[in-house]
Amino acid sequence: MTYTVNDLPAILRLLEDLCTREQIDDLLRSIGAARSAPNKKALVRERVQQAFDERRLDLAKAVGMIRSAEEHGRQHVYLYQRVATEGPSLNEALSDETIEVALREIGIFSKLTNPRVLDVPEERTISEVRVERYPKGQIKALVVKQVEAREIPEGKAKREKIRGQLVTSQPLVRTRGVHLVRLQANGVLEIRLQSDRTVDYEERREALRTKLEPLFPAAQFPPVSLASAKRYLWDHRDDAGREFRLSWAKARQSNGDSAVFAVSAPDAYMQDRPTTIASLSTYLDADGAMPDGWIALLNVPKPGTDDFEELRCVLTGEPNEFSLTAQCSEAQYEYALGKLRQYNG
Amino acid sequence: MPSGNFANTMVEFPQQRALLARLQSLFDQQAEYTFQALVSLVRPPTPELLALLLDELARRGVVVRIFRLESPFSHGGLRDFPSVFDVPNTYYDEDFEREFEVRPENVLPIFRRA
Repeated sequence: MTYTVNDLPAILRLLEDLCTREQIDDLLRSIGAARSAPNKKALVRERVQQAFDERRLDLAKAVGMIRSAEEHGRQHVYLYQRVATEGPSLNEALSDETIEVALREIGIFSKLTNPRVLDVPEERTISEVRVERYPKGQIKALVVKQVEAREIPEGKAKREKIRGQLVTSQPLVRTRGVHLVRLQANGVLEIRLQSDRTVDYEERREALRTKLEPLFPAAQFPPVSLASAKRYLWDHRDDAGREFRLSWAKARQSNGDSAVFAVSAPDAYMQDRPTTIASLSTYLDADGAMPDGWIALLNVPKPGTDDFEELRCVLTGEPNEFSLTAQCSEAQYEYALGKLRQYNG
Repeated sequence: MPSGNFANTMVEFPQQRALLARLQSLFDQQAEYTFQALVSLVRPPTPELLALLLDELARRGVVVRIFRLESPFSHGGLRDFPSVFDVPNTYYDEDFEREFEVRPENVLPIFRRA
């Protein structure tokens, strides 16, 4: 993939918005570029620009940093699994030829050969298609990225009476939304929608699935229910090593009755609340009862250390859905996804 | 700097010795309580008296009072604040992706063993 000077303004804006000063500093240090600057804005606008002008900066590396910052965490993730059908095998489906045919049918083949770095496009746009490969060249995943403009309410809401009506108004801030569809070589398909209170997730998801039908036919990718993972979190809540902390639970009986259990202290373990656990246990002992939703804090590796830190995971909504409420690194996302798939059996 | 413990407080407030002893016994068993729970468990003559005693214990550093913001959606704790004046007027619940106006019923006074 080749990024050009036309992409630079968007790259600079996104570096400033998405990356920490330390990350940008590390990037400049790694290429031997000047790094002194009074603040992050100057570091990006002057030093990163200077590194590009001096031909030290590989824009692909900067795009990689942006990608890592915005593509992991703070998302709703929907899981699907490719099943064998009469059509092409998974290997055939991931071949260069098959991908090209599907992309041309959709009209986005140019996004594979000539991806764009879009800041805040006017319309929802497929900005990039990429094939991720392992160091020895085997395909790892096929990724399609969509970018859109969003208007998020922010700031103090104002209420006023206008002509007999109570009207609430709040300033809107224009921002960028990023969604991904990623097919791994093992057949797992993820649709990852950036979290946003204004988003209709079902509409976004189904619109993406429809648009990308030639690449990821719905009949070949049924949803993967996370019911087993939800049961695992209950059955293994006290396993040695405590890979997760439970903070909220919703349990449902066979007739539809439900109960919610919530821990009060934000940093407490539900597992350490004997009364809550006993009540939840009684509720789940009934025939047909099941854990319907969890908020679990998964222990994930802390970047650059041997320690772990918590990543908040909300398992509610659609049967194949989970959300990560905080931005995380690529490694942390993969770790969390791997754990959930392991728990799901 | 506040200092002291239940015993010192009992010496200075001998009429409330029994009440303080019940409080001490409770905090020996569990780290934190809501005010309403303490009223129910300690059975003070009046809730106001208990509030005054807890204020005194907080001033002495024997207990810590925090104000816990609860989500009206999950009913779980979101964040602890040292003072009611630190609690914001609105809050965004990341788990349920909804903002809410903070009302008194969303703020839980919690007393914690120091």
